Amino acid sequence: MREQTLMSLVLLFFLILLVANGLVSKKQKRLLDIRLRQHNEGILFAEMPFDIGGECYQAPVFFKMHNTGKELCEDIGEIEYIAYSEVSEYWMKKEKKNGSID
Amino acid sequence: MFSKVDRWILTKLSLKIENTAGTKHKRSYLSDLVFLIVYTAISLYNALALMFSQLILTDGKGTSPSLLVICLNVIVIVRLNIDIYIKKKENVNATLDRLPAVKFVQEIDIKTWRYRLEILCVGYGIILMVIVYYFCYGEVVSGSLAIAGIVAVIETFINSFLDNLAARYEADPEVFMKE
Repeated sequence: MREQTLMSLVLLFFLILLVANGLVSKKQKRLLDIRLRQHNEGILFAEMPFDIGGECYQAPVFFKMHNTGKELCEDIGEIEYIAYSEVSEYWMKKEKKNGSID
Repeated sequence: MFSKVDRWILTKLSLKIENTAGTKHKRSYLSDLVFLIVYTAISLYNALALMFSQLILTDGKGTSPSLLVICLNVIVIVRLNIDIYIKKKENVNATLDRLPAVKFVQEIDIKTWRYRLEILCVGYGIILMVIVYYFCYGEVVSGSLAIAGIVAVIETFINSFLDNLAARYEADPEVFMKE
C-alpha cells in the first residue's frame, strides 16, 4: 500500500510537470501570435485612405493571397487602400493605370 | 530580513563578477564537459544498480545504489526545465522588443528552446508510461524510479551537452568548426 501511494505521488508529479509545460507553451504561442498580428496590422494600416469606390478587396483576404512575407505589398503596386471602419474591415481598391482614381 | 541578506550577498559576492561568457574559455568548457561525462556515468551506474540491485548486491563488489541520488537527478531535471522556460521567455520578449518597424514578420524563431522543452516533455512522457506500466503489473517501486532516474540523467546530459557545445562554439567559432 505504501509503495502504491509513493508511485501515485511520483505519477502525479510528472503529470503535473507535463501538463504545466504544455499549458505554458500554448499560452506563450497564443501571446506571440497576438503580438505578431498587432505588429503586422500596425504596418498594414499605417496610412489611412480618404475615398471609397471602384473595385474593392477586403484587406486581410487580399494580403493572404498576395503577401509573400519577403517585402511589404510587393505584388500590389496598383492597389490603393480606400476605406476602413474597423481594422478587420479594411478595404482596398485598384488604381487606374493613368493614376486617377474613380 | 531576507532581502537584506540577498542584497549583502549580491553586493559582496555577485555584482562584481563581469559577464564574459562567449569569449575565450575553451579549456574551462572542456573540463566542464569531462565532469559532465563523469557525473552522467556515475548517476547512470547508480540508476542501473538500483534497477538490478540483486545482481549488484550478491556480487559483493561496488557501492550500493541509492534512491536519494535518483531523487537528486529528478530535481536537476526540474531545475533544467525552469531554466529553459526562463530562457525561452526571455528570448521571445527580446525578439518582440526588437521587431523591425516597417517589415512584415511571419514568425519568431524560438525553435532552439522549443526543441529543448520538447525533449524534456518526451522524457516526462516516457517516465509516465513506465510508471503506469509498473503500476499495472505490480512491480517494485524502485524499478520504476530507477527508469525515471535513467531518463532524467540522459536528459540532463543532452541539455548540458548542448549548452556546452554552444558555449564552446561561441568561445572560438573558427577553431571549433575546424576540429
